[in-house]
Amino acid sequence: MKLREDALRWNAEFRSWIRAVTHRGRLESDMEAELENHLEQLTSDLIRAGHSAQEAARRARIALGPALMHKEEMRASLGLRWFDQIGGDVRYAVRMLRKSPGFTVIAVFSLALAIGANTAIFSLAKFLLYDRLEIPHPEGLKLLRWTGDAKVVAQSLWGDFDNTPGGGTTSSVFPYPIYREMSLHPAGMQSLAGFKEESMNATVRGTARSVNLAMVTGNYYDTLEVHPEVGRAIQPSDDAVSGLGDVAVISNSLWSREFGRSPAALGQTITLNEEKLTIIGVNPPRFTGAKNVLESPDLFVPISLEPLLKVQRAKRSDLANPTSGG
Amino acid sequence: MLILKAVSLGPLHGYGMLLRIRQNSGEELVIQQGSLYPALYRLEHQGAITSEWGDSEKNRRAKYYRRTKVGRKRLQAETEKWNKMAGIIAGILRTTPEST
Repeated sequence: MKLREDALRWNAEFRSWIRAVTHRGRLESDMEAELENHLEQLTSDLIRAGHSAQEAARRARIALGPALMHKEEMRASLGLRWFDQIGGDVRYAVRMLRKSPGFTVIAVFSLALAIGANTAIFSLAKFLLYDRLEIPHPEGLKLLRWTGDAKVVAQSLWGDFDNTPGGGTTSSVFPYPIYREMSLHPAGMQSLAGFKEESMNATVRGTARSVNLAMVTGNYYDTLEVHPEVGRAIQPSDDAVSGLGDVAVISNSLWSREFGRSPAALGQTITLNEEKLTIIGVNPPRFTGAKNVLESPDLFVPISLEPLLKVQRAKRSDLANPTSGG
Repeated sequence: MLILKAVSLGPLHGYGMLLRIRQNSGEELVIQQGSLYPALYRLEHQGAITSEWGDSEKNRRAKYYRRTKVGRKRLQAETEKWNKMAGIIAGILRTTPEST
């Protein structure tokens, strides 16, 4: 019972406050008019009681007291006191800041710098730590990494690798035979796919240019659970035989840029380092491959094509093909 | 409390309320003129009374206040409390000192 009464009262008070704030002008003139009216009536009553007009007016004014003070109390009753005080403080602050422009400029500049730096760092952290790939169930996907000590055998690595304290090496780049071996014994993993990103020369619709591409294993699309927007994805059958599988899936943005999102893109030919590939599918819009979330490689081709693509590299890579015994 | 009682018989404006309270107390109670309005505004803020502008007897614009349901309940509660308190105090004053 008491709670309900309290709730009703808060409700009434809140609504009264809102009304007072939004119709402030009318409130002020109403208060003025009410006090004026009271004064008039008091004066006329005093006149009726026998005082002269002047005397009555004087007495009435004294009796009523300072209108200013009453109005202030009336405003306090409505809960306007703190509101007015904050308003006054803000206006005072603005006045003071305007009087010393040099200080204000430096303060604003420092704040802007700090806020900007924080925003930049947070955006970077978000990108590095929190952003997920645009695939279903990104939390189920893990990128494997190996770590070796100073005696590790891998000598020439094609790709990113880092040194560990103690003279060792760590990298996410695995030799292809190791990948094959691991995918035979998944050890708790549902599916193991591999990819390698690289840039090469390609001719797309007659124009030669440098493209980023990703060479992917046949089960790449299945593992990531990514489905193409049009056409089909790369399948294990494309990757089955080394040197075969001259198909390519293009990125969504390449499809927009070069082919105007036309379904006629399927079946067209792209020449990649003198190899002719047929476009078989287009990736979905926000898919960027498995390496990063910023930019997508333009082409996705089966990794079985690697020996044909004559990739430039300084030393012999460990990406040897098991069937050729190399 | 006194204000709520004053408007219980019908809508009044500020000055009229002063007069009625003075009347009802047999000319004994004269309220400070200026402290009436803050009290009125507080009661309206809490929802115990509502106001509207109307014409006074002398054909002047005046703000009339009337009691709400909430105000009626409030008057009831306050009256009960007051009477209870008066009874308790009267009881205390009535007790004679214990004779040892």
